Amino acid sequence: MSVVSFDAATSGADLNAALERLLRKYDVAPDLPWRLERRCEAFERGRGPDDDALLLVPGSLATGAALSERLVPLLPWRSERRFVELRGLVAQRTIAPVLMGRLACHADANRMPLEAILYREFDLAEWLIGSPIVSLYASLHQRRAANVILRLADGTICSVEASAVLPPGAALQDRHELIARRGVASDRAVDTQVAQASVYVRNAAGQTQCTDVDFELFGLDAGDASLVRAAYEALGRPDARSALRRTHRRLCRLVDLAIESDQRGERLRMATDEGGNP
Amino acid sequence: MTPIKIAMMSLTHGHTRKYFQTLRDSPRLQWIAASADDDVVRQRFHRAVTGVPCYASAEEMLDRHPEIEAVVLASANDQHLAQMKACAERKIHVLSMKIPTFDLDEYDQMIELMDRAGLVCQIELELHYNPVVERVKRLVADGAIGRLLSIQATNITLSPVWAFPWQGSPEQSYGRRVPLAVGDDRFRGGALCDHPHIFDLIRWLTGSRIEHVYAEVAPNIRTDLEVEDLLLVTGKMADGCTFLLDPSWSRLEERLAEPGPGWEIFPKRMEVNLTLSGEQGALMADCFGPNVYHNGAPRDRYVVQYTYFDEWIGLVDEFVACVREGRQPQINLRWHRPTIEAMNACYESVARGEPVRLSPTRDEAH
Repeated sequence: MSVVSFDAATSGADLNAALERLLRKYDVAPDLPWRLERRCEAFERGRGPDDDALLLVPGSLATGAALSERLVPLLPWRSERRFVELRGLVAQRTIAPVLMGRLACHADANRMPLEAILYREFDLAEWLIGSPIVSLYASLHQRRAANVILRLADGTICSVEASAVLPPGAALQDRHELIARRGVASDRAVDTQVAQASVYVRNAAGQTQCTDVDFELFGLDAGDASLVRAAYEALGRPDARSALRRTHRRLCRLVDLAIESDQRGERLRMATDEGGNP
Repeated sequence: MTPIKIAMMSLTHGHTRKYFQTLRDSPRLQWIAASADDDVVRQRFHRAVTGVPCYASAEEMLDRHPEIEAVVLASANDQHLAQMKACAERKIHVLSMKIPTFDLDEYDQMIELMDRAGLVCQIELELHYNPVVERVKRLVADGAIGRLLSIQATNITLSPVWAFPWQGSPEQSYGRRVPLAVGDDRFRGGALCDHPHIFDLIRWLTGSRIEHVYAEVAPNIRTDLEVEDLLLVTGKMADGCTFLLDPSWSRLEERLAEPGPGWEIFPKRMEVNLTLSGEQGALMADCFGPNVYHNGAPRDRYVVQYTYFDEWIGLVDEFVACVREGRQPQINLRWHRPTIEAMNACYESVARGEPVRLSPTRDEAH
């Protein structure tokens, strides 16, 4: 049973074995040796991969890394079913037009520092709504909490609530809501504050809850499963890697811009030539 | 304690109905009379309340009932100053709606009027009497999550303008017709004006003043409104705590002339949620939850049926105690002024596209 969380950095699941099984099953032969990691301490120290293998890591946890052809900064949340469905609701105009987004993410700083949260939420804002961020105003506190208002090219405004103050081991708490003239879409149930699980067990050992989302990758929680799925896509489509790197550069720039906005106390614009979000 | 002889004026404010039960049931109040702005409002009142006379004007009501000691100003924002003057002249205490006025000169006149007449003027910010908010206040004060680093607060609702049209009128809601920004055909007076509570709460919870605000408006959900309905506000308190406020009318409604069952299109008509991040943890609160749910009459839609709390009881209890004991309530005109200033600063920020800094007021500096 897996506990509900996005970034199960302490989970013992073998991601590389799961990815290997998936590649074999679908007869995908990567062009280079590879390694999938939940996070890479070498990158956190500002270094690149230290061998010839492709290193697949969540881009949000590699913001300090030197970008090289060996690094594949993944956007695993884009493989999470809830985000795929939310995006579909917008793309198919089930809700339309989107006018405002409300994104929130609160995490344990050991698993997800503030910069990583902003990286993820900025990408989700652009990817879910389907429009690039053109300006932002950010208000930070000690790199532990941030409140940001984004404006997207299509006129949508979007809030990002972020904090990295949850105690060690706490499950990530997030919420994504899109408000349109026709309809509202959200990954949280109406009148709830936190994520619901699909299974709750209460017994002499206490309480356990789990949310299994992927039969093919059964045993992995939603975070790990989406990371494996994202890595599978990147290995199967070598051309996607350069796009991931372009997006990574753009998202890193947006995170830097948020920090700069707070320091200068100004709304800052994203230069139009700083890469598009695919 | 002798019950206070109380009346209601205008009956056009969205919170009017919430007072009916409290005014009838409270042993500390004797409901003397009401005045309605027009015949439609008066008929609506008579359908809801029996045994309380309702007059066509406030003046007639006050002339006929010189025994009235206190009044609930349940009126549009642009009527508050005139009604407060009438009350001050007759030495009548005032329970004001949440926005006394957005015009700070008028606001200062109100302070002077009430001070000079030695009257109690309480501002109706009922969240202070909400049990969840009380729990949050105590947890924060007890250091449950340490010093506050960040606050997010929503005060999102459906739009009340179809039942209470003055809330969609820039003149009646904001006090005058001020464009949101150059090139924007909308005016101040919408969702922001309806939702001062969360501005007030962040001041109360941090014990600090709002240092600056930055606000942006989205295109309207309701394209036929001439006031804003979606906006976001961020900023910092003087102690460094950052905040994000959502005071939008982002929940769509059926355009009912009178609020009632079937009002909601989005299942939940109102939400005040708080997320507090502190040096030692985080706290999340739903100030109006949990609730019950149904998909029955009249529209067979899934709906959140509120299990409302008793804010108006605590609010009225404090008002009565202040009147009888000759003291000012915690949420009085002076306390509330920086909240109004901050809301005005949000509009300035929208117009200028940049953050707006607020200076400490004389009261805050002390």
